[in-house]
Amino acid sequence: ETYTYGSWVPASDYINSDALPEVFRRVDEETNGEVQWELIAGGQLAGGVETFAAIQDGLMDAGVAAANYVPNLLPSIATLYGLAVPGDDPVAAAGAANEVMMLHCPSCLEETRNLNQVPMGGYASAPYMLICRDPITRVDQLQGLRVRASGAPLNIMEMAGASTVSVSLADTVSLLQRGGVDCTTGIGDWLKTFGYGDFAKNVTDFSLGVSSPIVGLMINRDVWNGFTEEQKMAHLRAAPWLSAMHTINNFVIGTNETLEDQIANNGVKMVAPENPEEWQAMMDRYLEEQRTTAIEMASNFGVEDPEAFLDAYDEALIKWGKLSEEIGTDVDKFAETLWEEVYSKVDLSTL
Amino acid sequence: MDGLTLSLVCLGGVLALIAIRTPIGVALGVVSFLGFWELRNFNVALGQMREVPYYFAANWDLSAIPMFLLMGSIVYVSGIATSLFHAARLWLSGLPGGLAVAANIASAGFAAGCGSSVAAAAAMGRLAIPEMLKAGYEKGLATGVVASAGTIAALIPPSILMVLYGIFAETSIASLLIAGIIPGLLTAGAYTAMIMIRCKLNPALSPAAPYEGTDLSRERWKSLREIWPLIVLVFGVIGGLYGGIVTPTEAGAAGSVLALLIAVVQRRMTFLKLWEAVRDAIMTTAQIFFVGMGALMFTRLLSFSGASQMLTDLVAPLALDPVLIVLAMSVIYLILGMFLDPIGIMLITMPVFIPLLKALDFDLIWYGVLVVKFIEVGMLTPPLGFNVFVVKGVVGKTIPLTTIFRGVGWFLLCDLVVVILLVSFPGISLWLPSLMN
Amino acid sequence: MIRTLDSVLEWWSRALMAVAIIAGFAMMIHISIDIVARTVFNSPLRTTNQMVAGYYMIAAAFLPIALLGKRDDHISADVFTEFMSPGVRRALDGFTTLLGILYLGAFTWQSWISADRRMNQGEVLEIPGGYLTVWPGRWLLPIAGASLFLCFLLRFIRILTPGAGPDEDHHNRMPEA
Ligand code: NA
Ligand code: NA
Repeated sequence: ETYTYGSWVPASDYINSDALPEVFRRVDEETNGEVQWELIAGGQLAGGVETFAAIQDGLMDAGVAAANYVPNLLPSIATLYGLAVPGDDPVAAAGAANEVMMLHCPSCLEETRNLNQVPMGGYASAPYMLICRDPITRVDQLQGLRVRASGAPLNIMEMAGASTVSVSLADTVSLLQRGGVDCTTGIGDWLKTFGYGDFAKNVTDFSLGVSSPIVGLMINRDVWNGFTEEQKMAHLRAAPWLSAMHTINNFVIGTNETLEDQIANNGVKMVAPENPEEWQAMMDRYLEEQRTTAIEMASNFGVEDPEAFLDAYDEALIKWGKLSEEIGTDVDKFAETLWEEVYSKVDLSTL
Repeated sequence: MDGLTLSLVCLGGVLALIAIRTPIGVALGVVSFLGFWELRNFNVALGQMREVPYYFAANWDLSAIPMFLLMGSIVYVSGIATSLFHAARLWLSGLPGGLAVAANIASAGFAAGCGSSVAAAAAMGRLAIPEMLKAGYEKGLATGVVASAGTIAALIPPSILMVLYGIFAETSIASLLIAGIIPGLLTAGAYTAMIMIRCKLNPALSPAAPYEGTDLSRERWKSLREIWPLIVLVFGVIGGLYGGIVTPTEAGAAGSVLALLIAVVQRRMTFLKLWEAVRDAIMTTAQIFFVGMGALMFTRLLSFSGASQMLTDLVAPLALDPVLIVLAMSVIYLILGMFLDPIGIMLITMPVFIPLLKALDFDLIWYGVLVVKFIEVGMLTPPLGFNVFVVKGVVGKTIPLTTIFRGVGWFLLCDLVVVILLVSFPGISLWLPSLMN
Repeated sequence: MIRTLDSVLEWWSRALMAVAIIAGFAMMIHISIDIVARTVFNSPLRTTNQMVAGYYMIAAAFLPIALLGKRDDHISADVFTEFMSPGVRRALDGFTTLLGILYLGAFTWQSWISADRRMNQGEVLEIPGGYLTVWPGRWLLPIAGASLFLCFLLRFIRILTPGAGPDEDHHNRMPEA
């Protein structure tokens, strides 16, 4: 049977061109063609927020789920994945996020069940950085600076005394062009995709953290329950490839290539912080606050024991930090590790 | 029923329902509903209706539509724009079809401050059509020029469509905006030439309106002094955009406030007039959105029935011949433009065409100008021509929709010429952006 | 009876329209204040995009549809109908109005379900440093839908019972020419 996957990400994005097709190929192969997925990309079926209702109602059978779009529906996942993970290791963040969501966060799975959905295949994005018109090397330069930001980087910028602006990603480019904002926070890819690199040439070489906000394969639960046990296992075996391919090929290798290309051909510069310790201190101050804010937010949305999965995430991050050193940029190895450490241990009855 | 058959049956259904005077939004919605029922099941069909209308309207980017409409209607009710039209009329009174030429040129000027062709058509419609009808112009010409000249607004920056294309195609929005300027002026020029030739050959279209005063040149220069508010407005909006103060989405709201301030300073605004201005802007918004949400459901239906795949199958065999590709894409845009709204067209075509164009190493800026031009042509073609609908909304029941579509036909011929020029000479689009680098 | 229904509906549709007009004005003011606050005072508002999407746009797009329907101002095309006999025209008018009734019935029913669901879920949108509750805006859809449904229904009754009263005055937005 053929099922429909609706992706709101632009059709040319790596997830649509490579990662999802590979997952669907594997499912097809493992189920001997009994389960086939048709990918309809570029927001033709539903936009980012609408995706949750579209899957819930069975308009489409699966999709890309950004939990922070619907914090009231998926408060546990949104809390967990709204956290900035210090450093620049998307592999560790993606590994830990998958592990906690699938194994150590009953409320995550309960929330998706209430939405008639089954989550798998999360991925992490590249580190957030400060992209500016003028070089910014000291923390005190942030004082009063006009910065476009959202999520955790927004809070970091606010703490540092910047004046944050929250216009849409597409509108940001025209503000950067004419100095309506001085900087934007964002990942390296955006220098190209949103054209920021054309007007903001200075990237401060300091990570404002990575996060893992996306569940790449959110499946309608009726569809899922209609699968045989082998078919379900086929999906669990294929999902790690989505996480691994998209995290490594797109957000590690691809982002670096974009950055290098922007540096070589578009006049973009990486500017080193004058005093890296003060940037680190700013980040540390934020991280202290982050946990309190996260617990508060989750509790406001009725999550019973957010501390439990936050602790599990901290633990998993340490574990995956070590695993990540072995994995490096080896996609197969990352996928296999995800299977061994996470997806092979999933108890089907909990989904 | 396979996807292609279903799509064709549904297109036919929409046509038939529109022909018997079903409200177009209802026709699109009902056919989409039945299509989804056939393609999937009853619950999925209902589900579409549950979420699509809300998410269609709950959209920050689309707020530019009511806001630019509002700017136009404030300019209209306050009488600010009358002075511009008055000036154009005095200066162009000797030309064949002078009023229509004036409306056309005023639209091109207004385009520089207005981001959507729908909004431009609405604003100019309220202003120019009554004057032309009063002067005895043929109804099709009077309404057609306003509907058509409105499309210039999407080519000359600011332009919502250019921004949307830039996002879908992941290409430089700044270059796109600049690239549209000359094609926009070219369109205005082609329209002007056509109007003059037609009116020269057939004077009945535009009865001569000779100047009745005594001192034409003095009146002319005097009229220029009265258009400063509009110049302030247009330069205020453009300056705000290029000064990085407002984003393209916000420009309509800022322009509305600026127009309001000008009108208040000139003592041309009353509470009642303001109420009327907002009412007209919001009424037209609701009219357009009622059709738009039906069009979005219809777009979804086509997507579900595999439209993208069908397009790929159509275009892929031509992949080696750039000329054939452009030709095929043109035909596809013309056909989709008949039935879908701009965003629907982008949703369906971008995922198919952009990777293909990148693979062929086409210039995405040049192609963006073409896409916007094609989509704007779609705003004029029956049965779903949003610019024509707006003009219809402005003139009310006095002029039937068919008359407006007929009047637009001549302008579509000009568009054909412009498109051929844009395809043959990419420099028309690319010269200005190349200066920028 | 029909006249009473008509005047109640007229009053109600105008009231909805008035709310939409206020929302449109508020949208203009809110966006502009944000621009000024950001540019001059370096302290942008936090909720502009979300307020516009979740409230103003919804009000502007949906609340006027009842009045538009009542005045037969929804966009439609007189392609063939102008050449038809009054009888055929009335039959077609009845048929298309019936389609409108069915469509708006489904729309109202489904948007009601959606609004109810969102209310129970407490729908919010993320804003910098917090959340904006947006579910109340969802209820504007079934309210507007039901109102247009009733307008179509009234129209249908009128078509079925020709002698029941004069046709409503067709509103004409063309300024005096
Ligand atoms: Na424009
Ligand atoms: Na059309």
